[in-house]
Amino acid sequence: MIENRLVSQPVLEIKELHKSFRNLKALNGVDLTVHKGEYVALLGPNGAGKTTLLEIVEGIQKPDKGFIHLFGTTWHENQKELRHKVGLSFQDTRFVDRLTVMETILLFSSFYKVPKKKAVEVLEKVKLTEKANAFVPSLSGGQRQRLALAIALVHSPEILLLDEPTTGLDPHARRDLWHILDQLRKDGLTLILTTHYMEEAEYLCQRIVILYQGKILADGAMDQLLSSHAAEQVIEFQLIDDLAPPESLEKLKGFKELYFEQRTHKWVLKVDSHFSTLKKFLSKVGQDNLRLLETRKMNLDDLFISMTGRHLSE
Amino acid sequence: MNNSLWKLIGMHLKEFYRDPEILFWTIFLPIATAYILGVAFDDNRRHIQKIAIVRESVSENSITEWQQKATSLSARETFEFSVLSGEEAMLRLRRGRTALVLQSDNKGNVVAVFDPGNRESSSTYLALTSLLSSEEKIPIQAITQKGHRYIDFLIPGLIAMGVMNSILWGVGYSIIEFRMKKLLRRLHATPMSRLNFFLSYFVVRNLVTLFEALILLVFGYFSFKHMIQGDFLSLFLFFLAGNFAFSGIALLISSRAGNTRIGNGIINAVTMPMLVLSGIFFSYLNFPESVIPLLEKLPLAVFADGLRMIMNEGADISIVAGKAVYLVAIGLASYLAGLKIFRWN
Ligand SMILES: Nc1ncnc2c1ncn2[C@@H]1O[C@H](COP(=O)(O)OP(=O)(O)OP(=O)(O)O)[C@@H](O)[C@H]1O
Ligand SMILES: [Mg+2]
Repeated sequence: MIENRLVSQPVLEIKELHKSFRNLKALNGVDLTVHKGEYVALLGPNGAGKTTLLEIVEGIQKPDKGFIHLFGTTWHENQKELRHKVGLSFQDTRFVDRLTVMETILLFSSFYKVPKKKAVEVLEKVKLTEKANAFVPSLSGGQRQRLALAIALVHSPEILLLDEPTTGLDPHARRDLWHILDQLRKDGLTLILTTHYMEEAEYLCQRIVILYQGKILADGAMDQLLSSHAAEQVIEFQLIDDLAPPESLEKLKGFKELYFEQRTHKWVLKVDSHFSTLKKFLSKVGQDNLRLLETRKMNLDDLFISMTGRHLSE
Repeated sequence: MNNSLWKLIGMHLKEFYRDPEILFWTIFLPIATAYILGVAFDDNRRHIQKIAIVRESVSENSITEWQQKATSLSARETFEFSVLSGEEAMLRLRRGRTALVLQSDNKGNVVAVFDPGNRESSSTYLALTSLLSSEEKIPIQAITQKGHRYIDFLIPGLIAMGVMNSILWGVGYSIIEFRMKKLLRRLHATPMSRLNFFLSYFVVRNLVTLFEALILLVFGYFSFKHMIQGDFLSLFLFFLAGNFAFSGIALLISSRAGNTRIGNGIINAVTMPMLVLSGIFFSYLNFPESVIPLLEKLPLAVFADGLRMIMNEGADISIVAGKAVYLVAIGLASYLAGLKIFRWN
């Protein structure tokens, strides 16, 4: 894999990409290189610039400045070729109400001059065969996302760009989609998806890119990202009678951060290792004052909070 | 009064005034239409009743006599007399360029020739006879000859109007709706040929308008024995030219609008004035002389006039070729302009 990366040309290469809407900097100097076969998750809160970045890659929007090469070429030079290599789904698209699932997929496959057989196969792949004759408005949210995925896949693209493919789906439907995307990996597909769900990023993608205010804050494998930030462990607790934790907690060995989390009504203490700190922690707080105590590994959201003070999915 | 009602009212008002395009179409358009209609129907000032006098049917002497009478009547500034050959007079009547024709019958008495079914002619006749003494009463010679009646004037106009409405709403509105649903940008993100995309609209709309026109023709035939004097091929070719013109216009007016409410406004703004100004229900010659050269060039007017020539006067495509080329040119120019500013997003 490493060697392969060195010799092969990247699928996507972006340098110093800028895009503004009036005086709002949606993208503020983005660098990103993606190689064949990589599954990349673009994570970031609302307004981070995920859609803007993806749509520039898709050739839908034009950057103000910066370098962007897709398969070694640009939309300007090779629009036709790239359209055949790129499969995509937008954050929200409604299809034609009066068409069935099958008719919709056949319509799109006709643009790529793909035979009907292929369209049928793709429906099979996204598990929509039973719904082939259903009208589009009658589909559930999850089924609609799978139809959008089928349309993105109908011409066997080399890179798949999905904008929030699972937003608004229930956990079950979300998992269904993950499995389908997981299956596609073996075809050598490259995937970039945007999401607000860190579980999704963790499950599907070996590489995670965190975008915030038009800039890439972090880029790497999950473990790498978490270990790059020294704190590894999180202790969450609640105190009786709304007591405040003693200030002496900051003197704990391996102390990183302590704050109150409004959403969960828990105190969050980040430390190097809870094995070495838990005993001291209990003695400082006083076991009787504790209403609740949990320990867990640090996750992306914790990382994001310590970097920006905000949650990933706000 | 409760707060949420105010908030809701505020919401609607904001929806309205924060969309300046809607404001334009809903406020400016009715004013413009009212003004135009006011000009057209201002009886006291402008509305001239056009009467043709047939030259052959009267002697030299009586022409002078008629002209004198004409001038004395014209002094009231509501009538405009023109002395024409019989053929020319009937042609004008058929095209709605004159409200009625005065000629003498075989006994030498003056008769008024018009279709009593045509309101405009009837009112001109009434206005004329009200000025004459009772012994001078002019008898009516109702037109029954096919191609000369009001219904013959009306049916081609209705066909033209049907084409315009069907295409502007069917194509224009649909494109705007696709844009609003973001389907347009999704289609644009495929290698779909733009030509095919627009061609598909044209083909389907042609079928629809053809069907609509056939229904009108069949209805006209069975109810009024309305018949087509010209040949079907010429009619079909000219019909296509009209369809093409309106398809281009539909693309142009839908090229940028981002939501269907604005779309509604724009389409109304284009169709309503054309309906009023293009001589569908009554001749556009009622408008002031100075604007008639402009009105004659409205696509709907050109289309309706050409259809009338083929259907009522038996003209073939070579005679209406100028009009057909004009329509195709309008269609092409609108199409190219629309494509240039077309918004897929
Ligand atoms: N067409 C536009 N006109 C003006 N501002 C825009 C436009 N598109 C995006 N923006 C702004 O650019 C910023 C980035 O938007 P973008 O849609 O890329 O965010 P996102 O990360 O996809 O957010 P979300 O998670 O909500 O989808 C936002 O502040 C947004 O308001
Ligand atoms: Mg987005």
